Amino acid sequence: MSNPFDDEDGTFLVLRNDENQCSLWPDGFALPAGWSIVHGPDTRASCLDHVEQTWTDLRPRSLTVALDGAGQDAV
Amino acid sequence: MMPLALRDTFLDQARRTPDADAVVHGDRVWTYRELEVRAGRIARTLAARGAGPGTLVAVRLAPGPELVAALLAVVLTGAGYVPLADDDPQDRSRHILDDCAATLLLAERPSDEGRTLTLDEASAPARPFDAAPVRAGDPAYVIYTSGSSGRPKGVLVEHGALGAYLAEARARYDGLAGRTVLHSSVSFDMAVTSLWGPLVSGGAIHVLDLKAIASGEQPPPAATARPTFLKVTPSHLPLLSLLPDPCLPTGQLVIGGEALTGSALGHWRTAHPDVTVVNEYGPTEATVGCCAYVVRPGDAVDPGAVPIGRAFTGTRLYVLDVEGKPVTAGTVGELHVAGVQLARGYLGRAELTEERFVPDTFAADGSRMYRTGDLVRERQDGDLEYLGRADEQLKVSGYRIEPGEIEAVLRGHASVRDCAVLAVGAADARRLVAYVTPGPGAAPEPAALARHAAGALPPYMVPVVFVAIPELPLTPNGKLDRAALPEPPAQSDESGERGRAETLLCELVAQALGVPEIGADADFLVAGGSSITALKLVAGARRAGIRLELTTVLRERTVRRILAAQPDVAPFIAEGEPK
Repeated sequence: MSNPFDDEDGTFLVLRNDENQCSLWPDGFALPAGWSIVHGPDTRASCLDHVEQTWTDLRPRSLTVALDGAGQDAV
Repeated sequence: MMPLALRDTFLDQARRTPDADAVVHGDRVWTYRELEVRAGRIARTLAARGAGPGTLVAVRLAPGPELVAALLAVVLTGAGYVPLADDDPQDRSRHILDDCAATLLLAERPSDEGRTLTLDEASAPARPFDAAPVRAGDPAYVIYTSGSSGRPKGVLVEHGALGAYLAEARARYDGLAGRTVLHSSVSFDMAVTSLWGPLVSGGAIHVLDLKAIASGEQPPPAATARPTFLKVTPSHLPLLSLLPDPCLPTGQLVIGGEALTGSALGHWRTAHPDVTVVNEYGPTEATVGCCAYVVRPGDAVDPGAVPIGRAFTGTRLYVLDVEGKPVTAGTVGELHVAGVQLARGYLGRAELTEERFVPDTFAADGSRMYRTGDLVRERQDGDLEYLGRADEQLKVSGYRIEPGEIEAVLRGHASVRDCAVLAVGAADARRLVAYVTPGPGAAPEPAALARHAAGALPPYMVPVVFVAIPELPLTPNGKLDRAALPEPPAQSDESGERGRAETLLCELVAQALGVPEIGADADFLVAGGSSITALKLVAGARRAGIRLELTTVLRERTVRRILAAQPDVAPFIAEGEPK
């Protein structure tokens, strides 16, 4: 059986955690604790697109908050 | 285990043992004090030019103490380093530089690019500078790995993850406190152990070119200071049998990067029964190594797969089925890695990151786990065993290769409509084969395709055999039907440059063996050759202006196969210019 995570024709959700990190998640899988739905259910391509558009800063939120406090600008 | 802060741990060490050896290369020895001073000079310039926590500095330098000082300088500023292979084609280096948007590039030679600095330019007078504090979430390095979509992707590892690995390595490998051989390119994360491991353990890095020593190009190091630690891939093991003792470790031999079998270890263990062998497993995305299996002196080892053992402190390993549920012991599943050693993700590639770094449903606290794509099973005794890949990713001679990256490059050639790249052959004689379908009215030329590939890909990713076929065979659901692809030809092209290269190599092999002549398909070991013969062949070839890899000679053993494995030899002979 092929992997639902890699299913090009599957239906997916985009999840996000408190660190602002995103994950593609097969629709129908139990929603994991600590994550909430920010997009979908939708096609894989749309979900990937949504993430590309919205998750432009891959830094975990705890780091950006600390840096903002210190007035630093960095990747 | 508390993660080590690399910068602070090194500086502490330099204060405690300023006169201890830190880096050794040939006759040159730098103490911890000297290394700190040299790195500090560079760091001051880098910091003045904007390097600091959260920024990236690329480094492209030949192996040696200067490279160690340059990388350490980046660490001292608090920036992350991006190590570039000094033998990568220009295109690839340029792509990586653009992709990571490094603030600066430390390189051998000046370039018109504004951000390039040579070490001479970067060496400011020694004066202290104020280094900004480094957070666990700041980037420590970005290491590029093969990308299936056609371009390499940068794995961003944060200081917290690197520190966790280094703490683990220091605690597990006491050989790091002695003398460690640094021999592999720092552009792969395997070298992290041998680069930073010694410097956080009070040990010395001994920079050695093992292949050059084995082939007689360079003299072996003095016998007075034997290494205590060496890390290699399984593909390096045949090389070790040709090296003199002053290159070989007395403490630990750590092996990683691809599947290891007990039979491949046989020779080493017979010759070095007192050395502990460690099979370390880990994708770059989980920082160098996240589990290991230890073979102590006297331990029996089966000829089959050597286990990859159990998780490091702070790492959780899950063996899951395709539904993401744990499988029972003994059942094959995909390995998932969670915990302190996870990378932040792929630099600037949110969509790739969200595909591979997914919710850790077991921790259930919003943290992530990495889908490795590696198939494993848990043995009765609780150790994990690596079984292969769940996707198309290949390992050839220890290098991680996405065939999609090679295919994308080949499709960029005018004569190619479509193609598929596979690895063919047993583990120790694996070679890359490209199946290509011609574009309209075109006839793909193997030599032209090899040159095209070599212009965009590192040497280990250039296919050695090109097979033209009218159509790629597909399965009923439209996937590539690998089983239906024709066998790659065992016979190579007799005409032209390949024919001349073959004749010349046959003569060299015959000379090395001391026989009048030998055929292109004769196994030189069967014909009475030995590892010494192989050394003679490599030396003879070098005199003739041909650079053969000793490991290739020992692995392939016939002229035809050596040529197939080193496609650069033939075109080079045709052009007649020494490399």
